[in-house]
Amino acid sequence: MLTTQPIRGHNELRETEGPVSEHTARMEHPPGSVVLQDAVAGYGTRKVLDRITCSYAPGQFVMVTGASGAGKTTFMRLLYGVVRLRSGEGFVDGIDLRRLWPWQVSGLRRRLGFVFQSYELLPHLTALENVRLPLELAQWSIESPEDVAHHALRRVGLADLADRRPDHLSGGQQQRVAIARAIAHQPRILLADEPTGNLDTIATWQVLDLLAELSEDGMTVLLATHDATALQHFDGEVLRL
Amino acid sequence: MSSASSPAFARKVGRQLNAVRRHALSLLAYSWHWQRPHLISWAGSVIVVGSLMALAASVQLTVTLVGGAVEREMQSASQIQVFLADEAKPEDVSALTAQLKAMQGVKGVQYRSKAEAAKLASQDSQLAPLSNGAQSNPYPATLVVDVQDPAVGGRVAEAAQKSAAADRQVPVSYTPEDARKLSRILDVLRFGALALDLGVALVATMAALRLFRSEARARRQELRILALVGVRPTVLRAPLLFQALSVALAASALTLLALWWLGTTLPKGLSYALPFLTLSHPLIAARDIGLVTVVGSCVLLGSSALLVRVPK
Repeated sequence: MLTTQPIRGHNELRETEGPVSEHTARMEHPPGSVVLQDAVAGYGTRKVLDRITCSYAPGQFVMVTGASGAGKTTFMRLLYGVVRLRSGEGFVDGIDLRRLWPWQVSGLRRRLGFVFQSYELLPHLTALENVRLPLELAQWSIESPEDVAHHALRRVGLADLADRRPDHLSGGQQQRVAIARAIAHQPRILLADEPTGNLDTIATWQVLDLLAELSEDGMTVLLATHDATALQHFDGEVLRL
Repeated sequence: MSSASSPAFARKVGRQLNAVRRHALSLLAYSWHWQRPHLISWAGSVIVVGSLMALAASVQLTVTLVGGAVEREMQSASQIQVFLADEAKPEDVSALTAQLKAMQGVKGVQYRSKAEAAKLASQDSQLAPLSNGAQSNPYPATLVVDVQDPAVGGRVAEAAQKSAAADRQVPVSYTPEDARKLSRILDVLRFGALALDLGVALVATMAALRLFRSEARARRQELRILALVGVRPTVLRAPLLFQALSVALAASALTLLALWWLGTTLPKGLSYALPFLTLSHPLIAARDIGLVTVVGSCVLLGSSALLVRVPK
């Protein structure tokens, strides 16, 4: 599944986003793909990921699982540019992680979507403002951040709750706002680190269904989870760490 | 080809300009959103920084005015006037002229009549009023002595005091020793003003840094989240820079007010305390100091905003 769906609306932006764009032309690592080869990463002297190899095509839905401390979060943070690649190779959305300088990290993040376990919403902003503010501050080329934010909230089924602040939303609703924020700029890849970790069963399935829909629309989704039930009902690719 | 590509290029440039304008407005709105809840601490910083800057600028203005006047006095040390008594005999004047010309270090001596002195005085704003209402010409005839070295001034004064031709009460226009004393005082004042400027710059920077750091601490979670969703560190700094510039401009406004007030009142005070000094126009000096204050404070506080760490 290649990235030619209508959901891709910012190719022009990507082509002009600076030093990282040269790598997008690499056909062996097409936009929307995630490729690691013998990747090593960790914190300080501690190796958390040791020679990880995996390759996911654009539009694939992948669950990343493993015991506590196995490195699920580190894996996600490596792909998101929070943790540096120590050795091996890594390509995310066509970007070579080995050549990612610290000042280019925010450029990588603007191309991806990330959903956190703890939602990471700004408490003093409404749901709409939480989605709109990153668009205004990070995505210059979007002409009407307000409309795009509304569209993203509709996409996650929260159009009616756009004016509520996070403390007036349930955990599942907050996570859907976080997903709306992550997908508003229509990234090719969505990374979700334990997005259902704080949710009840119904909210968990709502979030998982939503992520599956996004994958069906052509978005590559990597979901880190230790939820056994979710894994049992999942028939796609699983990366065990 | 070119006619087809030109409109496309213009559209592209127009889109880019629109994007920049939109982004600038978003940054301004976001910066205001940041600052709005902390207006009291902002006002406190403006008062502290503004008071310090006003103090430093006022001292600087005083030193600049007095310094300029003293420098002019120092330059005029190469020309000393011996005031002649109205009843001086021509032979005494000639004798004194010859005596002065014979002195080592004296380049020349020129006689200036009362009429010539009155004519020159009429062109001097400080001297001209002296003749208003006077029955006769109040300006004395003088011997204008050109000297190579101000140190000769002492001997010129001594010769004038002994001569019957010179005015008994005010024999010479100027004693070089006075100039040297003033010069030393001026050096001390300049050093003091410079030290005060540096001190103010340091204290103002510390006060501003304290404000910016507390703002960044209060917004730590927000900055971290925005960094995580891809907002550039430069954009995250924008509210701090906005705050720095707004503090600098508001504090500069206080300083300019102080300079304006001082510029209008200082000449009167100085004329009373140091009547022999001819001050240059105080508002021109105040304008120059004000300009340096505005630019300097913006650069200094803007730089200190860049020192605050934001998440990457």
